[in-house]
Amino acid sequence: MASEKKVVFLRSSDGEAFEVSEEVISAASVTIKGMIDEESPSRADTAATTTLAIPNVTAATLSRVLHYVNKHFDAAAVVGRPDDYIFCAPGDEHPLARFDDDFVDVDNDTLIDLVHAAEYLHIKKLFDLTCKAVADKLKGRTIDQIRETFGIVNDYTVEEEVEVYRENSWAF
Amino acid sequence: MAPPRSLPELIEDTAAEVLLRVPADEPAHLVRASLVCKLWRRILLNPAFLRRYREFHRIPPLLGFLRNSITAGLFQSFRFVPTTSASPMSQPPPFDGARWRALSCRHGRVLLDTGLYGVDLVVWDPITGDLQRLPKSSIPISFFISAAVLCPAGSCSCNHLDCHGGPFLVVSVSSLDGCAKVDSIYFSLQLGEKILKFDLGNNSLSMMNPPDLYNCDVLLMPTEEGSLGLAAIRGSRLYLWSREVDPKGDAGWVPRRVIKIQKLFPNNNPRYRRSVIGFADGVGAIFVKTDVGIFMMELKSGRKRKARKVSEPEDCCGVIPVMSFSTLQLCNHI
Repeated sequence: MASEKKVVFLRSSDGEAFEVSEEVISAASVTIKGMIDEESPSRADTAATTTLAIPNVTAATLSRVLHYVNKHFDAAAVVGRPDDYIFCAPGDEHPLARFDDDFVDVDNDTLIDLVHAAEYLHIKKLFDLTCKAVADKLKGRTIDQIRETFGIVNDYTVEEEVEVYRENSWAF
Repeated sequence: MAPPRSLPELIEDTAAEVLLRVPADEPAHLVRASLVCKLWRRILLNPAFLRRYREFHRIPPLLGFLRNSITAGLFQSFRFVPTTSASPMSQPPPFDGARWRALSCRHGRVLLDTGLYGVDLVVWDPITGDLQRLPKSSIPISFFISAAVLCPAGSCSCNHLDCHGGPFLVVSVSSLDGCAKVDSIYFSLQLGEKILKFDLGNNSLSMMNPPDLYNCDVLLMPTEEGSLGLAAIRGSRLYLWSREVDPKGDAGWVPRRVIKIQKLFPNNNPRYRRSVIGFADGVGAIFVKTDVGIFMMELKSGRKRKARKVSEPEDCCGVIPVMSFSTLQLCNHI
């Protein structure tokens, strides 16, 4: 199929363009598939390459996202089950489990940016992976450490906080 | 310097997606998270979120186990031993009567035998404290009474994640040790020499023989694949079997794994006979008693085997694992 060889360019919020296979990114991102489908009628008869603006994602994050998408799509193609990776839970005995572990082994800001990007681009598996990684970072941290790590402001009053601690003293 | 990216900046749905993925094995983690900020508390108090959380994780966390003990004069008692780092479960209340023995814990309910001179069954909800005494049974006095409590709805119509307040079914036989699967309950009889199957679909009974494991106490348990399994210790090895049906339709026992246990479950006296005394379905944790202690180990394949001592061995005559999501409802007290 001719469409398999098509590429699209994604332009990040800071103006950098990234080339990616149309087939790969359409399979991975519901959002971009929608954008491509909208563009399709106007470019059906032309050889012009499409450039899509991704205003919510920076070049640094987009580059990581595309690395993830290419890796997963390639691996899925090798085993002949393009959707296989979608069902791979983190930690499973899966060839990409190690890649996924390394992929989310990043600083908090980068991780939160990836959560944003996966949500905006609607890449379900990446969203699952990054949300799980954030959830794992909550383990073993005190409440103050969680607030500090993720820049969360404590909006409890002192009285409320004391009451809530008292009610749940078993958990501390 | 730019401020750190903030989770509350994300829409509430995204924070919920993160909290949904907080592992269930330590219930305290989610309760602690509810104290981070009011948004997180609002999410965690939402019954729809808690329902989703249970469905997402599916396997209720192991909170600990009820430890049956025989005291002087053969009076029995039990206490709760937590296996999580922080536990909301308190010790059982001071029930009236001299003898209380935990028989079964499934779908959030504990079945107790309280009869001093006969069988007297009580169903206890360890989270709410509700007690329901069953009509006096005509089962004669027996040290080996066994019974199981479970949700009466089949797995097709109930996922058993939130049914602990509803009706329940009790199946009781004069035997020892029971194991429930999706459609049947199995009891091992005469210290493991026979296995009784009670089919929940048509209320029928049938008997089968255990595999050839001479002079071994056996414990029945479901396998990871969902078939009937059996564990037994002989010497310094743990044997795991499963009940399989061959292509001709004949059912038989198939040896699955043999695990060397000398280092996993140490013994002081080499002649002391170790025994398998409990199994937590879903999390796949097996409980083994030696003269050093009660040990717990995850049996799931592919995991590095690691056993940890969870209790002293003295007086212990059985453990009933307690698995439940219901502790999350404690968040509602916030």
